[in-house]
Amino acid sequence: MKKEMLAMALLLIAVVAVAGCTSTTPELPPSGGDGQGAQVDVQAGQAADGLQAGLINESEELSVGEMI
Amino acid sequence: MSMKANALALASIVSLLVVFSAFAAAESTVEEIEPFMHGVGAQVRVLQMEKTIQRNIIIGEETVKVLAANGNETGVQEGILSQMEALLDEARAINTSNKTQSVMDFVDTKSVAINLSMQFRQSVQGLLTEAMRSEIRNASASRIAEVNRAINQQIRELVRQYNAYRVETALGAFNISRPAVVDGIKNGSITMAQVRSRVVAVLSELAADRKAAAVSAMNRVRTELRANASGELAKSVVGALMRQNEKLRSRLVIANAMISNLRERLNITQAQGNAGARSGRGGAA
Repeated sequence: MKKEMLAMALLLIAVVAVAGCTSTTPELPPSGGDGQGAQVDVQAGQAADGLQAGLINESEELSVGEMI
Repeated sequence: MSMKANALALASIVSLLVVFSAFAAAESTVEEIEPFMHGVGAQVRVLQMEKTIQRNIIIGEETVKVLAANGNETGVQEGILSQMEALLDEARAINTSNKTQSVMDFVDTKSVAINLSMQFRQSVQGLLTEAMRSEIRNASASRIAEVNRAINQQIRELVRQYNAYRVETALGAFNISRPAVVDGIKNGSITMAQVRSRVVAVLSELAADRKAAAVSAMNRVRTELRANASGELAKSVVGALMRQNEKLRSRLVIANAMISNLRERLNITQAQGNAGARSGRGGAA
């Protein structure tokens, strides 16, 4: 019984270890000028997205519901 | 009734008013209100409102014609349409130079327009066959297209002005001036889909440290604008139902005067209704 429990525990540890190794780890931006530059570029894209989201689309319609 | 009961009744009424007011405001969003922070944007929203009310009036009128031709009594629908006509006049009269007042008027008008459209929809439920619906849609389509032609042109011009203003303001927050981009948006040579890449291109010309500061300034402008829009929307909630009730009284007076006009315009006569009644009853879905 004890042996079976030990085997199960080992199996669980093995599964967790494999999962840990295969999981994707977020890449840290490289320190220094290039990394900061890339990060600022991403932020510039996000700021442009934010700006664009605040614009009005020419074909945009306002709806107050259907009549029939 | 005791003082306590009076207070309770008053509290209940106030709670109901708050709940109804919250419903009225929930029909408008911060995104819809954001353009009101600049006069041109407010004009766009008011024109969009006019356009959608006009569309519903046309569909309503064609529905009344079809119902009358099939012998149905159309008094209820005509009453609702007359109110919508009066509401359209109210929408056209929104003063876009007063930010707070125009937001309130827009929120109220939209709420009433939704309510009247729903009342009309419910009033014709079970009276229209699929063939009648199709007839209404066909008859409405050309009239709507005709009305939209002029209003779409106005909306397009104002949208371009508004978008150009937004880009100019965002870049201007960091003292960046790009008249070519702003003018391109105004005259339509830069489409909305191209705005993002143009703005990114402008930012990429800057040194990294200036770029970061410019991005921060742009984000600040956007956050402030949304906060202002949110504040104006919240203000419009207060007393919405009371305002709507006051307007309802004068709208009903105008609507009553409009009904005979509407019947004449739609060429609905008693004789037509009676003839339809003899031949057209039954078969409605």
